[in-house]
Amino acid sequence: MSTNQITPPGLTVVHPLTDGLAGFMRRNRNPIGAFVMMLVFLGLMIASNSRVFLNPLAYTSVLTTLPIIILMATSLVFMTTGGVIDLSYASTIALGAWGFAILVKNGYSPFAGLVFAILLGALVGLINSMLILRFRLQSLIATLGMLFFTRGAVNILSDGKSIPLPNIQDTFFYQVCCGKIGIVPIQIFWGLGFATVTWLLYSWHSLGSHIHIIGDNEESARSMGIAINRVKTFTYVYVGVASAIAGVFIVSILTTFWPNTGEGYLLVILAAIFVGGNPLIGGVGTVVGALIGSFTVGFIETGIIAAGLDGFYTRFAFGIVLIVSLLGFRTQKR
Amino acid sequence: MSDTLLELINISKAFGSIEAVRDVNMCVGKNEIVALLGDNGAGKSTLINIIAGVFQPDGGELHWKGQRTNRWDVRSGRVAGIETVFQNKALALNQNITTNIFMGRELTNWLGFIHHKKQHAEADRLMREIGFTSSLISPYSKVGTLSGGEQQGIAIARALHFRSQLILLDEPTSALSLVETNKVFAFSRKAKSEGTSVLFISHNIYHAFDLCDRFIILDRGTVMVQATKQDLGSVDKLVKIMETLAKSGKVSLEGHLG
Repeated sequence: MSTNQITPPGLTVVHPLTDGLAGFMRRNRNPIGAFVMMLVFLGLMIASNSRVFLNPLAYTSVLTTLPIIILMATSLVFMTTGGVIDLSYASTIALGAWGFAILVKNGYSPFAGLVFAILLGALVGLINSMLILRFRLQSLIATLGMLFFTRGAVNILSDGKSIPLPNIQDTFFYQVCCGKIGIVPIQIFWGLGFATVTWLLYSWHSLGSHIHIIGDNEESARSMGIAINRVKTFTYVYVGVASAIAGVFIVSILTTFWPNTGEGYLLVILAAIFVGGNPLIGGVGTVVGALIGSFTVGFIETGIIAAGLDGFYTRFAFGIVLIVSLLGFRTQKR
Repeated sequence: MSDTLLELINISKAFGSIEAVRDVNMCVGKNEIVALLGDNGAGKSTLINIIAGVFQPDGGELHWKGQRTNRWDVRSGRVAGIETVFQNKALALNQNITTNIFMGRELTNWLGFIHHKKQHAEADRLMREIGFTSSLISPYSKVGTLSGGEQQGIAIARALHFRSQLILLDEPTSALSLVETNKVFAFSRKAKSEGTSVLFISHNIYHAFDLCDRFIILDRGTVMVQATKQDLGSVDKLVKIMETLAKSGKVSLEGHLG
């Protein structure tokens, strides 16, 4: 060791988050690879059915649902990095949607509805963290229980009936949350904005650093005095709030609350996280990867249906992209 | 030993029915290197964890600079200026060196966002100060790719940065080569010369005698012998005490010091 030459000060020191495009490509080669695969798929479909795929409306429809996937996939990176998983979000989406719809239906401002939805989402997050941190349940089991429990609660609360909100499109809230700029739906900007906040917390804030350390080695984190329970509780609440906001977006876009809101997103969002290069082992993760993964998954999902193919082709394409991209991660490990 | 930095009075701790330490009285003064010796299971690590605030003692008092402490946890220990280099090094292997050095105490602005540049510059300085000379290792290297000795170095760099008053070295040399062991010693002496006290936990008598000013020998959870280097005179006497202890479980200092 002592025979090696001394590093000149500041020579090799390049911050990993500021090392330019080459570094970005190197760190995100897995999600980018999956994204390129998706583009190939899309190319094949354009070749086979150019009439639909050269119609910009097909892409507008992608941008309508994509924000939901972005919102959830990026915030769930906190979970995978912490070495745990939260499944309850698919039902928390519905609970947030219900809270929003019931207030708007009864004449309250949609903004009040949004606040109420966020509170409900935070409550689910708190219950999750209590089950896992206080009562020591495993995250998968606890949140699976909450997935059923919350869905049941939503069905009971709404009596299993939909709540139509016919007037919501006339409100200022609708213009801000899911209006259109030209043909681009506004919610894509909200989705990207939320992803940016998540990324700032994850990569630049001490909180993100603590999540990495806890997921990596909880014992070390404890002996170095990191407030493990506080950090973990934050992540569960954060995902709960993100789910509730996603629910509000869905209700606003559809102008109707359905008791089964969010059910279809459960596995799609997990696919987005894993295609984005987030492993399930703690301590490692990438919000940018999850964002790219969301695009991959969102384009496959909506693109195939817009192409007029049957829905089951979506699952088929998911399967191929997921498996091939995970095989790619395998080869990367020495 | 002029002033007392840390004093333990009748400290006890049991895990279930096993008494790990029992009525331990000991102290560490300012500006000295104290060895805590004993066989495996003598209670060294338990005692260290109590001092560091990881374990709460079942009974007894812990005094810091003459003041009795009420609730002593990792955070208050840190604030007071105790830095532990744990046996398992308390590192996160998938994170880079900087993250590990600043673990739990990142340099942040008032909103909690990390000054990455400042942290990396400081990590770079610390690494060169304690002798990381390989050009292959930068503050961005993952700690899992380093050797055992280098990992120990990261844990020591952490203590160095936070200008601690008392450094607890828990078996720092057990995984190290001779060259790296000497580095740890050099660092410990440097810390002492800067006014920091060191509590050196080891079962290697020769390493301890080389480095330390005073010796506390534990056996089965109790303090059996306290002696200074002058009392002992040579390492042979220390070895003899340890041997007698291992054989009979009893020893009188007077008998050996004659």
